[in-house]
Amino acid sequence: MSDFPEGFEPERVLYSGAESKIWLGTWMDRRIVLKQRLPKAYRNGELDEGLRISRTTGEALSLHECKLAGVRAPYVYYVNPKTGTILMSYVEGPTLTELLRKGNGSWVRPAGSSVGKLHTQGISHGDLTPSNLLVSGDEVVLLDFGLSERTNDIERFAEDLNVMIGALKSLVGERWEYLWEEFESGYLEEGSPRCRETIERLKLVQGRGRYRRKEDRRSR
Amino acid sequence: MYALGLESTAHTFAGSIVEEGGRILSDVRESYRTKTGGIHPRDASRHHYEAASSVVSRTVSEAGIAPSDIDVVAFSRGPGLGPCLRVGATAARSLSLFLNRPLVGVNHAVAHLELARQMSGAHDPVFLYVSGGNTQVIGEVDQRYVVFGETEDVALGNMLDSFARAAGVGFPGGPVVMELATKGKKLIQLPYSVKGMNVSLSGTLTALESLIGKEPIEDLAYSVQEVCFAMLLEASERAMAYLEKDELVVSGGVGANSRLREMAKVMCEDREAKFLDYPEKFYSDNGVMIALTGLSSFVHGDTLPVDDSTVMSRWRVDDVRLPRGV
Repeated sequence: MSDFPEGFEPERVLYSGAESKIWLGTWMDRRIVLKQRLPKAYRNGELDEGLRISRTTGEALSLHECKLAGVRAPYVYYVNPKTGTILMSYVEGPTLTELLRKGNGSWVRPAGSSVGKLHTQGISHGDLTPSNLLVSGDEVVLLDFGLSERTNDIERFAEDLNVMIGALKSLVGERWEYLWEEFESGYLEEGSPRCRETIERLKLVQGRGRYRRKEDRRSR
Repeated sequence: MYALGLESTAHTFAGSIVEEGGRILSDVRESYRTKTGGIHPRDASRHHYEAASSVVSRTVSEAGIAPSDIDVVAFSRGPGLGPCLRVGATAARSLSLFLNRPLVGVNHAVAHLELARQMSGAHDPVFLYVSGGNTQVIGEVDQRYVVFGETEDVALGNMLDSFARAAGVGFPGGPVVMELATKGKKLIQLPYSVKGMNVSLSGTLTALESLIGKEPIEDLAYSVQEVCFAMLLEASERAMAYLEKDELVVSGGVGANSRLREMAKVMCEDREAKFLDYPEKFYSDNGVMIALTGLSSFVHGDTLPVDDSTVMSRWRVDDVRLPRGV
């Protein structure tokens, strides 16, 4: 069962994801989000515990380092790797997925720019879908760093972009190409050499799935 | 209305006749087996070539209908091994011309998913399609099977086969590994690599191969299953959460692994979703899925002129518009 830190009053479950549950509640008079990685019964116990501990600490560190990159992400207030718990600030606003479903693509470019900054700082996200990008006020906020890595491996950054392309395709169908151009131009806005290198590497990553058409494989 | 389906993408040459409405009249399969090593495409196609005539005649005789009762001839057009696909395609073209019945080219992956969907009674599931050559997390969107996640390198079945071959325990590796795993107890640390809804298995394979001889083979078999299956179920669960779907269906040859299905069941129960199972023998390659899918494509007017019926060994599942609706 849930193992909440002292003083946390849950209000409701915000989201029940693949590996964690997210509650909205109050803690020390603040509106706050509690993210907890609950044990997965299907997974071997030892494997499960190792993953939950490393992902919880990794997520907290990445969230913190976002500040250094000038990328907005929730603030971390409390971390407990043993129970897989992180308390973080509550950010309100629609996700990029919700905006795109309404036909609003104007935030795709700024989202690309935030991701560019994140990568330049040496953080890969690990699950970069439009559902993990939120628009609050006039800023893009990045969420869910559970699969993130602090790394200098271009491969990780290219995989992030590959996941984003896949998610755009499944979300908007053929319009994905236009949206991707927007994202890419935002991504390259800062002019960081790493971002340019990542776009190059992306072509290789995309050629790697099973049964790509010949023209998609050219770069191999 | 009756459809004859021929399957020959990889190690199995199979035939089946099904009736409109889904009744299976016959299901005949012949598999190519090796004592050492994996599939050699040329040897496998030779096996199919030698098995074809007998499989086709048994498919018809077991169905208890006359050859002239067949309304449509379907074959597995891809994806798969070119030499193997061509044997099935040649047999299907000959039958189509001889019987003077239309030909239908079926996508092997689509056929797996269509059969799984029908047999499991699922409405709108997330599919985990895992076989020798495929490892994908799939859902249906706008009459297409869309790949939401997949392996970035080797397929799960291929990976288990490679491990079994390196350890010298035979082909196909899946069943051998499953058997060995039941005697394993210790979890050996292996790379666990999930990237959103994608997975990467090649690093796990490399680590595993370097441990052969250093750790008991039973523990290695146990660990590879625990680690790789957990990766795939995590990817599947993420797809279910992301797409807001509450059904999971496993399809493809590795689905015959009972530990994978057990883990899938537990995962679904935990999130109050349904894991929909169906008879084990329909996880592996068979002719029934080709006949069923071919029949519904035919009903939707999707036939293939013999002149244009070249095989497509790299045909992706998301290139196919599904036969749906009236």
